[in-house]
Parts: sequence; C-alpha cells; structure tokens
Amino acid sequence: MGKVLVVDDDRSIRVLLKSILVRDQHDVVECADGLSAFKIATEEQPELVLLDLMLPDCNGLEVLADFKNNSNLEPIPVIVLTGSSDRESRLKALSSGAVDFISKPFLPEEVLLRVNTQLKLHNLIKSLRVAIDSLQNDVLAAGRIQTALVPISPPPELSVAWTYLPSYRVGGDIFDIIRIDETRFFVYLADMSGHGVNAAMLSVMVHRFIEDYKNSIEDSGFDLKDFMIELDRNFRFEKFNLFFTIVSAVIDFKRRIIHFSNAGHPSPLVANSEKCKVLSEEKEGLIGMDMIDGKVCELQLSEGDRFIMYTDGFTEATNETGEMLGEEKLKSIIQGCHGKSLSETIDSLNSEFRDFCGSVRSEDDISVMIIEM
Amino acid sequence: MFKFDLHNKTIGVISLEKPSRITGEISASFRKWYESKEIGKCSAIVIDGENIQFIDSMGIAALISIYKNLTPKGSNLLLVNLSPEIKKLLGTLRLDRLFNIRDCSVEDAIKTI
Repeated sequence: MGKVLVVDDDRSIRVLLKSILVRDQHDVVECADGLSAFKIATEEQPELVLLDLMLPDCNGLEVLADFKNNSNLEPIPVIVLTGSSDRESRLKALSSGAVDFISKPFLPEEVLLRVNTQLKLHNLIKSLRVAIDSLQNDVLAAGRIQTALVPISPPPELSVAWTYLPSYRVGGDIFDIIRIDETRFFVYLADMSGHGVNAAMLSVMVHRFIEDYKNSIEDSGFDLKDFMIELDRNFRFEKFNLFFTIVSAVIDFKRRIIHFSNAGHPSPLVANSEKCKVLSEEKEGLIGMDMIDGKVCELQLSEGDRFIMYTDGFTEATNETGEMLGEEKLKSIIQGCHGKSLSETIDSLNSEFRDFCGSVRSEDDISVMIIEM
Repeated sequence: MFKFDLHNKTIGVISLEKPSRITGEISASFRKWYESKEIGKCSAIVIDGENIQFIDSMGIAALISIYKNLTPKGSNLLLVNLSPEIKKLLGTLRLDRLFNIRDCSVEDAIKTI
C-alpha cells in the first residue's frame, strides 16, 4: 500500500477520498491549494497524487506542470480529479503528464481501482529503474577496468601514438605495448566479439594472459608463432562462447624490422610518402577455432615508415545514411597525414571520424595505433 | 523476425523475415532464438543471407555456435545469398574455411545436401 497526497479545496471531497483510501490501507496526506501541494509533496514524497484541477490559488494544470518540471517530483504519478463535463482539461492534463483521471462524482471502487493500478505500475517502473541503474553501473565498472589496462603514455624509445574510444556499450578492444629487450617491443591489438560485461571481462583475461605469458619466458626466447598458438589453445571458443581477433607484432625499432601475425583481424597497414598498403598476406583465422598455425610476416621498413593497426570499430562505423566508413577512407586519411606528426595524425583520424559519423553513436570500441620507424 | 523451416525433416533453414542488421540486442536475441530450436537434431542448416544487411561479432559468434552444434555429427552449415560485405567479413575472420559459403538459392543448396 502507498502514501497518497490528496489535493482538493473541497473539504468534503478530501474527507471522502481519505476514508476510501485509508480503508484500503493507504496512508493519506492532504492539502487544499496548489502552493502547499508542491511543498507537502517535496517533504512527504508521496507515491501518488490525486489532484483537483480547480484550485483556489491556481489552476491544477499549473501544479501538474510544476511537478513535471521538478526532477524529484517528476516520477510521482498524478491522477487528476475533474468535473464530469470537463473533457478539455482532462485531455490537457493527460497530455501534460497526468497518468489517469477520475471524474466527479466518483464511486469508491473506481477510485481504488485507478489508484491501485497506478501504484502497481509506479512500483514496477521504480524497480525496473533500480535494476537498470545497477546493470549500467556494472557495465561502467567493467569499462573502467578495461580502460585502466591500456597504456597511458608511450614508452620513450618507441615512436607510437593511438586513439582508443571505448563505446558507450563497452566493447572489447584491448591493446598493450610491452618491452622485450633493449631494441624490441611486443605490441598487440585485440578485439573481443560482442559488447558489455562479457566482452570486457574476456579482454581483461586476454590482457592478463598475455602479461603472464610474456613474464613466464626469457626475453630472448619470445616467439610470435608460439605465442599465437598458445593463445589459440587457451581461449577455446566453446569455453566462453566468444572469440577474439588479434594482430600482434614484435617491433625492432633499431633495425626497423617488424614481425607480425594476424588472427582474423583487419589487416594492418603500412604507409610511407608514396602509398598506404594493406598487409593482407599470411592471414589466419580468429582465435579459439583451431585455425592458427602461427604464421609470421616479416617487414623491413625505412625511416619514417608507419605501421598501422586498427579494429573494425573504425572502418565499420556508419553515418546517418547507413554508409560505412570503410578501409579506403582510413587509408586516405592516413595517406593525407603524411608529413604530419603522429599526434597530429591521431587528431585528424579523430576529427575525420567524428565528421563522418555525425550524430550516429558508435556501438563498437574504436582503436587505431600507429608506430613510426 | 527470424524464421526456421524444416525441409525433408532434417534440413533446417534459417532466414530473416525482412531486411535487418544483426547487431547488438538483435544478435543476442538471435542466439536465444536458435537455442529454442532443435538445431542439434538437424543434419544440416542452411542460412539464407538474403535479408542480412550486416552482422556484428556477436552475430558471428552465434553462427559459430550453430556450426559447433552441428559439426560433431559430421553435418553441414551452409550460408547462401550473402552480400559481398558479409562474405568479406567472413573472409577476414577466415570462417570461409569452416562454413560452406555458396552463391546459390536456398532450394539449390538443399538439393546438394
């Protein structure tokens, strides 16, 4: 049973309504005018308001508007009391946020039926809101944990920059830059299937696994082929009902040699002053389906060459007309940024991406990482 | 929005009633939907891609689950009428090696099973 505020200047109506409601175990607070209705509602926080539209100090519709414009009072359902012929005000009240109306004179049964139905609805909406808030908090917490795992700033020896925009739904992009020895870094960018807490948790597990794997072997013994096979063995599809794709690379920044392996991920790009090329050779299947042989590509680069890894959140983003951004546009942005610094290039990628998407929010995480030799 | 028809008593055909993007919540509901069908009892599943405009990674995971449910019994997962973009996506993931992707009608695919 709930607390009901009765607002009516006619004392006999208030007494009648109170007796009907109290008999049905409701608590009743009452008042006779619009000003005190707002004050009492703020203090008492009733679960429902019965509001007469003809009040001495103001029109009941104004009180209704005040309630609906106040964030604390807005969720409280308001049932208006109207004269039997007052159709226009009734319609106005319903379109201004009242949930129902009761025409005077009324039957006690009708009052109880309408009040109880609205209270039941109101309580359901309230518990739904609580459940959604708690779910959203979980998703946000998962997102924060995921975001905390990616590097904050690049290591001084490696010329690298990135953009990492987690989606509002929490996707599953994760990356890291790990030093192997004096001249080499291990870099990876992975994308978990799905969104939300599942994807975020898997990305945390993958991150942790890779960190442990790297720590468990001697620096000189780090082998990309073994690493990819080990990933495939440990993240079986049937274990999580999720999969992920990954590009991992060993960057020798002194000799400007990159070894990379691609499991089902969009092919990395290599760009110089002349062209931006897609590195689609030796690509393998996604992780967890026994499709990994550990194929590794070697790339000899020159000073100033750029190696770009990205997730499909960037290229599969759509604009208002449903058109996808696509690999060609990414290539042309990268190519257009030749001669610019890495941070300027990242700024261009971000602004071109925003301009393309317009008001469409991305459902996926967006990650692009650029390494310059 | 998803449709399941049984042909020759053992071949399941999954299709979409109208053109749709299988993303986000729809991907999640697709998974729940097909789990309610007795796919494991089918000798083969044909997925009609005609109305699939786009499919996200969650939707792909659902396809893999269907494949995993069928494969131990030596059965088939056939995908027909796919758009070039979806074929490219399956190619990127190298799932074209696992799934049977064909450019033919559902009827023709059923005849070959």
